[in-house]
Amino acid sequence: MNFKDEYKKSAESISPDREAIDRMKAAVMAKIAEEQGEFPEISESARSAEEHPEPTSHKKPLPFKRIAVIGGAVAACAVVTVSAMTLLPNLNTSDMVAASSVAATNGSAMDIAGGAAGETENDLIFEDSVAEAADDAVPDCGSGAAESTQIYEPIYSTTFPTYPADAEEDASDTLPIGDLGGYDGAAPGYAVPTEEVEPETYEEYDETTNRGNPVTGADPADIPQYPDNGSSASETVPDDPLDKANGIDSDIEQDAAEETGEIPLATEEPDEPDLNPSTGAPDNSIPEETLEIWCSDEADFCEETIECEEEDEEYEPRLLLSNKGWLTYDGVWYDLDSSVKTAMFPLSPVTITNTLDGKGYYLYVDGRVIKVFDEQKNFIGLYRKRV
Amino acid sequence: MDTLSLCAAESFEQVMEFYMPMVYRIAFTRLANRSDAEDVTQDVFLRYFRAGLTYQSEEHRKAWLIRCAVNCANTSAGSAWNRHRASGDILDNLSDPDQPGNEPGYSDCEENFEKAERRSAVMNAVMRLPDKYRTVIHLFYYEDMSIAQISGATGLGESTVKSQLSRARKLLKPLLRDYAECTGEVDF
Repeated sequence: MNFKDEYKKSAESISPDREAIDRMKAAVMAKIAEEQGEFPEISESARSAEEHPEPTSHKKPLPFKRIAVIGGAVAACAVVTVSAMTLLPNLNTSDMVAASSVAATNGSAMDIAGGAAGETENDLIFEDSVAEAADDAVPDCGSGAAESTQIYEPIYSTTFPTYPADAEEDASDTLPIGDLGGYDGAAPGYAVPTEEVEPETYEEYDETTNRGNPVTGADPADIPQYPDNGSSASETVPDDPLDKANGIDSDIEQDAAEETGEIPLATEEPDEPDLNPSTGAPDNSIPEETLEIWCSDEADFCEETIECEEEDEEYEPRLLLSNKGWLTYDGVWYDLDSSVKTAMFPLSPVTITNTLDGKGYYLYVDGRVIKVFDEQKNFIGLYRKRV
Repeated sequence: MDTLSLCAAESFEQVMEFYMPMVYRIAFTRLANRSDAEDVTQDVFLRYFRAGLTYQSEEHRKAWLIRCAVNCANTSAGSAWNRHRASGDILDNLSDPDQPGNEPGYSDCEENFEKAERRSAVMNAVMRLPDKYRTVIHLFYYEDMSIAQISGATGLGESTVKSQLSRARKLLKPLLRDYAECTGEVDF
């Protein structure tokens, strides 16, 4: 007994019959149809359907990349604007606090001293220190300590009359001498300025003299975030709900305005009507302008996408198929791989006409490889992209 | 323009028609269950379709299908359902329901068993082998594959294939003793 022959005969009994083969083939084709959405046999009709798609069947996907880029740029600009509007008042406030404290303390010291002591050693040291600070803050002045101290002279003259005559008593009330810790008490208000003094000093300073920042030398009217009509940073960025929700920025601005003496103007003209451009906001309000700019940009963007679609539909790659073992498809060179003899006809080939002989061919482009079939779906050859 | 070559098995349907029995037999040899073998066969040709590979020759295509069939059958055999299934199902699936001996109403069970034994004694003996030996035996004796080809198809080493073939023959000898008494000594 030959086991090989016997086994071959017996193995024939486990071969599938015709019905089983047809059943398996139908099942395979059905699964492929589920995956592909169509049967391979009807690829021609599917191809024609692809050539004439229904208008509602295919929707062009949204250009998420462009939207993300534009949105990111807008968000970055908004963040920079908000941070600038938040930080600049703080910087300006710190300058103003230093100036006010200097003015108030110097004024109180002079007032308390009553001119009896004249220029004591402490005053001389203070003037020198103020001059050095002014030089550090405004290096462009270039006039030295003498000019810097001259800038402060009108401040003293404006602050002195506003101070009450019994300032010595007020100063002694607000600043106990015992808390100064080793200070001799000759000028108690010089060490720590009181909060009651600062707003009065700056209101008088702004309204009467209208001079520049004593430290920086800049005119307050030139600072954009503090215009005279009372508009504030919250007005330039009106539609940020977080500012209103947490109130951080508004508090900071309010503190800054208190110290600069502009909070009454800002509070007299509330900017709530400017928040919504559709509720009768002024024509020169910033939100409407930004909205118009955004709309116009969006319109241009839509027109660009439409033009791109039209260009994509009109573009057709060209095939130059030679009989010498090379072809060019869409301007790319491919060389024949003669080692490949067979290939399965693909489901969704590209129908194209050879520019050289005018015959139709089926192409299947797979990365760096192109399979070419003739009109009878016979395999012509496999071409690889030329390196 | 010259056409390079046209193979008989060009389209996907022709490939299925030509190689489906081979794939089915490999799967059935490993799984010993007709429905499972059909599922594996379908899976193999789905993978073949999805791969969309270009084959340099028919031997290349056949080797790919055999290897895929072996791997899919091993995967199916390793599933929980097949691992916990009773071994008695194997013999039930070996009997062909289309054969006249299996028709309902065939009363003489002993004669039916003898007929089935005569038809498929060798196959029954092979099916009683451990799983890992059945595929090697089938590929070696039915598909006429060499040791190296079996090694490439199954992913086993050539020495492993040789040892498995040797052990399978040793196991088959006692199983085929009764059949060999009538037909002579079994020649492997």
